[in-house]
Amino acid sequence: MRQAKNFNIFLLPTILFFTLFTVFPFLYGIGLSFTDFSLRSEKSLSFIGISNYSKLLSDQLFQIAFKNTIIVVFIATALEVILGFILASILYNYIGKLKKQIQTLLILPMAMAPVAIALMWKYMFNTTYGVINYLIGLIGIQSVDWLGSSKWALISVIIVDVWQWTPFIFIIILAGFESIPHQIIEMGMVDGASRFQLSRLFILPHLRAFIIVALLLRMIDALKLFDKVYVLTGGGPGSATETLSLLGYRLGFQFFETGLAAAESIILLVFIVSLTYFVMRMIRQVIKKVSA
Amino acid sequence: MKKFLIVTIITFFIFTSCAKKENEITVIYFAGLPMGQLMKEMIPEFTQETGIKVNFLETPYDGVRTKELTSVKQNQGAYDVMYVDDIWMYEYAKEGIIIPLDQYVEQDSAEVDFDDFVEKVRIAEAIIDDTIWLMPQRADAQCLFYRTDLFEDEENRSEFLNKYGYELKPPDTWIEFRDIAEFFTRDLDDDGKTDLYGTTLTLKRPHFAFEFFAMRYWAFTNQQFLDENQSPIFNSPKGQEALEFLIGLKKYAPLGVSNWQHDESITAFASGITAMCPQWFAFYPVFNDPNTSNIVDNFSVTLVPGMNNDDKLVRAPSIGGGSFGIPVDSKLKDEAWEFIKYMTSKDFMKRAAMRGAIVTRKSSYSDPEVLEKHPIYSIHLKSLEISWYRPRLVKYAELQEEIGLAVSRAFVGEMTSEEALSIAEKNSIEIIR
Repeated sequence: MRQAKNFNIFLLPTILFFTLFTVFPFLYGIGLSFTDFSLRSEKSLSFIGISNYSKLLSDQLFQIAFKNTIIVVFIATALEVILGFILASILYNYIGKLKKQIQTLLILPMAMAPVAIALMWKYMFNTTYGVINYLIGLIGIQSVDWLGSSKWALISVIIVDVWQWTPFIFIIILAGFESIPHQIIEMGMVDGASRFQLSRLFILPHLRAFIIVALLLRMIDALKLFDKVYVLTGGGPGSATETLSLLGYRLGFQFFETGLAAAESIILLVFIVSLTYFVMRMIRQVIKKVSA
Repeated sequence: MKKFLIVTIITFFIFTSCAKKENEITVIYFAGLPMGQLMKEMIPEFTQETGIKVNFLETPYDGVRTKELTSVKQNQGAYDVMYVDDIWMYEYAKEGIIIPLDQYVEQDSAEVDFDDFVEKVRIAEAIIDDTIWLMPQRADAQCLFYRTDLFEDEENRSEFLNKYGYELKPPDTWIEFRDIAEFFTRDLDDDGKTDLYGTTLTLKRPHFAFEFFAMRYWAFTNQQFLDENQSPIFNSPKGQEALEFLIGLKKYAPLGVSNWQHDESITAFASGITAMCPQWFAFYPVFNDPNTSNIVDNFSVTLVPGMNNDDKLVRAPSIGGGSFGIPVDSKLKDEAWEFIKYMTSKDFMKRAAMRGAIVTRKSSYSDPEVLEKHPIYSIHLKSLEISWYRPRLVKYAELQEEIGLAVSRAFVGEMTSEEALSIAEKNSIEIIR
């Protein structure tokens, strides 16, 4: 009893911290989203019901931002998982001396500051002086307007995101590979199982949890995509790369429409939670089928 | 006990170092400006003369307005002197962010000599409704940089005359500008790729798209974006014509201009791949420096082209700059004023002008030493004198966003000029209401 009481006392700072810096701001943000609060305005805030929400949901730019955000999340995350899996599989099966060094090099993009990455890629994508157009020019492909055309701008953002975050997926799935008990694989091989059968019956089921965790963490992060878009394109050209986070930043920090920005954040949060739930369910069903 | 004492002492020092020192003003300024460097050099002189210490904070442009507004709205009192972009002046004045400076200007009228500031600069960067809100320190205006070697080449001159029927010279009108841009867009080595372009364009959302559309819009329409009742009037036939004209220049500019900021467009001109470059005069030193330019001896600068409106040539370079203001919550307003007076004085302006900075006083522009070192300043002064200021609106940021978005959308073909400007007009009405 006394031990339990001591335990609770030690938990108190964490609970206090969590309440002050997570729970309270979250509830405060929900409250603000139902008001017309503007940091710029002198008048005190008033309750306006769901006006902020209906204004946002009916706004054309918000709808475009929503669509762009979904496109980036699904395509970027899918590519990252596929590439991360392939890289992890290759490195896991690599038996050379440079394994650790290769692993370190592969995770470098993840360690760089996002703004630095965006700036670097901005210059690489430069249509006149960028190295990418130079290299594709060497094999006879015409220069691409990577950041200045509606067709290519979102693809460019996805490329940068995949480059930066594939290492994250890679490192998680590699950990999954390295946690596979060797005895099970050896037993399967002794029983005459092919590589494909080993993958389907032993490896994939074992990696299931790792893939789900990696996928979910990336999706949640990708939904909040801001820094790369801000530096690379500012949401343009036109509205080609407008995202929900960029819109929220503009509302909150450039227009100081705090109530509207809070509503935008809540919409994004609801979307993240819903998407996470549905994707988790879907993945579990797929992996169950594959393992059957 | 020992550990507790160490922690207490460290905490004490942390808090005391964060606390504002007596008689020390905090100044927030845009990072990366040449004037900032000069100010840092002059601050010790200022402190010696006045006994006022200065905590000089240089902040990237994108973060300054957020910090300034947050500080005042949250009553933080973080700053005593604010550097204010001219496009924020109306918002800051009407929202009670800064105090009027008339009293200070009047009390030190001889020293300040407010009439010495260029008239357009006073209107754009200091005065609203006959009240002085800011002291102008930096004033830039758009101009047209062009390649003298290309324009003076005899073969080019002859070909141009044959093709267009008039002499090749720096354009007076946007129509001439388009002809010249078309003329100079060419494949120089017959490899099927364009090597030289007529012009740069600087159109990244939102404020680049807005300001480089504005110079054409004002010339085509000879009117502001809003009327005297602050109603949007930019979605007019002439407004659409101005936007269509801008879109028509795409084929004479390098690939990617719809996402270009200043650095891409000045690099393009400085490296020699464009014949013309409508830009802010402040970039003149970049083009004139052999370390950053391939065209040092082969360029010049002139006024931006205009359009004929009621038989008058309307050139409409935008004015843009920075001024000093005193926030309402500063507790050292008198000291702040002393700093502002010092850093906008005739002496400071002359020193800045000698270094090639873009200053705000007539006396600097007419100083013989300055003119001898920078004869090109006469063009900049003329640009300032005919410049237009951007719309005066508390919600200027929102308006700039809407119009910048419309320009960008139309430029990349996401929608027509008419559709883009109609949406911007509808949203602007909502914003202004």
